[in-house]
Amino acid sequence: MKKFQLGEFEEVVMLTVGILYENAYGVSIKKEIETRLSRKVSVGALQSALKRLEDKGYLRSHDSDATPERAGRPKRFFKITALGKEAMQHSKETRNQLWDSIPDVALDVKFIIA
Amino acid sequence: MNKPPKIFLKFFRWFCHPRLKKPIEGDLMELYEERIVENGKKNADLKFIRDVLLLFRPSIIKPADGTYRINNYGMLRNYFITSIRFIKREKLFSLMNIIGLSLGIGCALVIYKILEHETSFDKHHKNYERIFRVVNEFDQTEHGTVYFAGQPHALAEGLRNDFGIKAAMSYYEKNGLIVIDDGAGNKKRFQEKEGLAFVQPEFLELFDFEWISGDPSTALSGQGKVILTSSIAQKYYGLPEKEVHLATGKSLTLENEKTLYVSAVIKDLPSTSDFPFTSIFHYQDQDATNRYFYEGKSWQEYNSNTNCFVLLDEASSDTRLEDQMKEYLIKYQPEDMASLMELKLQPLSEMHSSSTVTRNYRGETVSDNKLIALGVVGLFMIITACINFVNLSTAQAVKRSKEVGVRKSLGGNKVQLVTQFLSETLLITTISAIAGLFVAQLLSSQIENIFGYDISLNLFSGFESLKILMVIVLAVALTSGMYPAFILSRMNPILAVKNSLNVKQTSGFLSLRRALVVFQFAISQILIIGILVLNMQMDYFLTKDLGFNDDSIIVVKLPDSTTEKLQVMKNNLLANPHIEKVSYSTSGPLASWKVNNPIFHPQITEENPSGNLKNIDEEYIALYELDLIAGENFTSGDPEDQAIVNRMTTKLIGFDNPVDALGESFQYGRSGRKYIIKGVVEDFHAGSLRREMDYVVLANQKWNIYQAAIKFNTDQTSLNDIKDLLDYTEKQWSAVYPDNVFDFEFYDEQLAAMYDKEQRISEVFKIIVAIAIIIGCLGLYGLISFMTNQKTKEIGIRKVMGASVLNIWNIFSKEMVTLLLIAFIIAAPVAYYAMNSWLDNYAYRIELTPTVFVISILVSLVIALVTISYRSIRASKANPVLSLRDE
Repeated sequence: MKKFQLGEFEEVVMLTVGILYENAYGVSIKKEIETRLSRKVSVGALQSALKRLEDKGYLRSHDSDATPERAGRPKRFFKITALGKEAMQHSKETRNQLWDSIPDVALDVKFIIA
Repeated sequence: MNKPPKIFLKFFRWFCHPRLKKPIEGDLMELYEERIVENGKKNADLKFIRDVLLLFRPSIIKPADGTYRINNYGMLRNYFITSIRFIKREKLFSLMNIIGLSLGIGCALVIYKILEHETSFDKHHKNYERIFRVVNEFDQTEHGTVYFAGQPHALAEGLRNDFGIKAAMSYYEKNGLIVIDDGAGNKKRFQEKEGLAFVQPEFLELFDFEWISGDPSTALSGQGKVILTSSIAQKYYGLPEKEVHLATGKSLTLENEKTLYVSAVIKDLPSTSDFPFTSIFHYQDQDATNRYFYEGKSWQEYNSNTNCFVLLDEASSDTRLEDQMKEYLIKYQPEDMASLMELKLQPLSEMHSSSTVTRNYRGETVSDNKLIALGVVGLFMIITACINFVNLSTAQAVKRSKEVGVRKSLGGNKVQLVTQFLSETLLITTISAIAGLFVAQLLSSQIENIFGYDISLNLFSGFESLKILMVIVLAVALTSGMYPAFILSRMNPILAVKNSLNVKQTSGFLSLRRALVVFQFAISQILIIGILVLNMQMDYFLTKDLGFNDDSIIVVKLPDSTTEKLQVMKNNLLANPHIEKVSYSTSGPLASWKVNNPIFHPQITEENPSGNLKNIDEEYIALYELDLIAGENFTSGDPEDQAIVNRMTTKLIGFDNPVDALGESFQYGRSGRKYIIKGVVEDFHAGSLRREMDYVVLANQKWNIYQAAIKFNTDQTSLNDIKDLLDYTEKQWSAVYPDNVFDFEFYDEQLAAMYDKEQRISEVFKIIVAIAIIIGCLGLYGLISFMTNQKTKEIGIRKVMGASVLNIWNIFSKEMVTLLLIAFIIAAPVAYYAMNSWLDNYAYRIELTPTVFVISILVSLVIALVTISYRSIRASKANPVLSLRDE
């Protein structure tokens, strides 16, 4: 079970990278998360998550050519690797399994009047 | 284009990991531009700053030393793992290394602690640098300049009045009888052997004490007051430690004469105090115990236990005061006395370490030279341990040659290899240091018994000791790791991997390794010679014919010498058939203290000869079996102006034949009386054998009688009989002195105790010698293993050719014996010089004979051969097939 380590925020980042597909780089990922999940994401938190994921081999990156609107800095685009995909799948499956194992009664909250 | 805050951009560029720098900066810039459009520059700036600060987190920050650190970490880990594996694989070698180093480190730690203790004396006084002791400087053309610390009682008051400085007298009386009366008629008696001090109130202003109860300004404001230390208050009044303040106001009686009240209780004085006081009385109260006090007004009464301390304004020795004091004594002293001496100021810091004024209240000083010598010994221990390590590690070098070869082939450079072996050494040294702590603990409990003071080895009590340990570890690791590291890293990788390192490549006949073993052997031989000479001198001290008999004699102090009491006791004692003789006198023939005054006679040519005066009775000469060679013994009723002198004294006053001196008279003391010589005894030792014999004057006056000597007839007595005899003696003694404590000693034991210092040195020496020899053997073992490793093939071939085990053992022993002889040639002169100059301290000493040297070389030969035999016999027994086939 320890094979795939994916934190909650990391999973969100992975999913967003998947959504953005060809256009996943720092600012776009940040904006996507902020609009979709309506939560604030700082550049630092995002970048360190991206670096962690890359170190784990779930993401790979390549730098684009420099563009003038970014003061001559390249964009770093991210893509999900095969391992990353597996990790996401694993995370989804375990979650589904857990969901499935919950007996209906437990979630079917009723007020019992004695 | 708008620019974000410059400092923060720079900060970001500085800390960011180089790989991430450009894309993240791009993101930041993009966001910045957008925010300016949305919310204006100010807001964008703030958000930029926030983002930069939030980026400052471990995964974004670049590693401390660029990316190199990542590599090095892995490498260091590898070094560590290899070292652990190596230690595990070569258990015996590692163990020997660790034992050697831990012994060395343990020794050095203990020695460091001793040095720390000896150099921290009296530093707890806040006036430490401003307090001086007044000492007398005598210019004696014959003996050079000598110093005495004893001062006349009136000196401090004179200095106070005439110079306006703070000065205080102190008198230290070692012995005293303290009686505690609990009010219900029960009396507890304590015969104290040390700790009774009498000081002037000003003394408390000069020196610092920790007050539990009472007030320093009033504690000695008048006579009849006494300050007790916590532990003595507990002893006298049976108080628990927390309630010692309750002793205040209680009373005690001193020498059955004075009843005094406890005015204050202080904490026990630290072990680093040269004032071993337990009870501090007012100076004027010393008349109860000091018969020569004369109300403290005398300018002529000198006593080595009466000292004078002054407090100066400046830390430096005030030469102006010394100059003024130069002529000062003439004011109070007769001119012939005053002209002989000068007053000097001795800083408190020198009181413990002076080699010129060797008296202080602790009874001994430790000169700086001795401390330096001790430090050198400590250094030697560490050095021999390092040498050992070098020997053992280079012996192992061959075994590691493959590893080195592989590392080199894979691109490991010399620096990396050196780093590897140094870190390995550091690991072993650290382990040894921890083991060394245990060694130090063991040693210190031994040394504490010998020296009688605590060596607190609690490393966590002070940062200082921890720091010292760390310094030792680093220094040892560096000195002992360097050479093996270089040897190993220098190996030719091809030869190393092929395991065919040339023997010559790592050793020549005068290799460092051999030189080191020679050095080690030289040190242990010097130490062996040292301990032999020390023990022989001790033996000489204890067995030399002193010129009198000290067997079966007990000596008891007399509280007073009333003639009637003495007579009653003598009669009662002699009623017991097992008690042969009883004699009352000033002291035994040999005593640690003496009454000393100059002798005057017209025919004396020697300058200021002084005579040792003892008052004796008619039994004395027979009891101690002194040899009466001319004239007659005293008989009861003899006039008091007669004396028996020793043969030296008759020569002094010009008579070669003692018989001619009979009837001659001489003057004893400057204003003393004249004595007529009635008899002459053969010379005997009246003082320790460290000194020349004294001129002795035996008189028969009734004053100055302090001691009873009782001789038992021990021909047919068992231990039980002696106990009965002692009980009997005590009963008779107590009948005469009911208010005192019967406190006796066997005379021969008392004499042996005088050489306590030598005995202690010899004990310490024994420990050091044992450790040095163990370390030396380890080094030797290292060398022999190296040689057997090198010569595996040679031995194989020799065996094939028909050599016997003995032949092969011979090859190794021959080399060892050669090294040993070289070491001996170095050690012998050094040891001879050192021990000879040590023996020169003693007037009566042994001569250094060749036997000592022969014994020392035989001992080290045996030790060396035993050490190498195991290894060399194992090598010679190995099957030659095994050693020859791997080519």
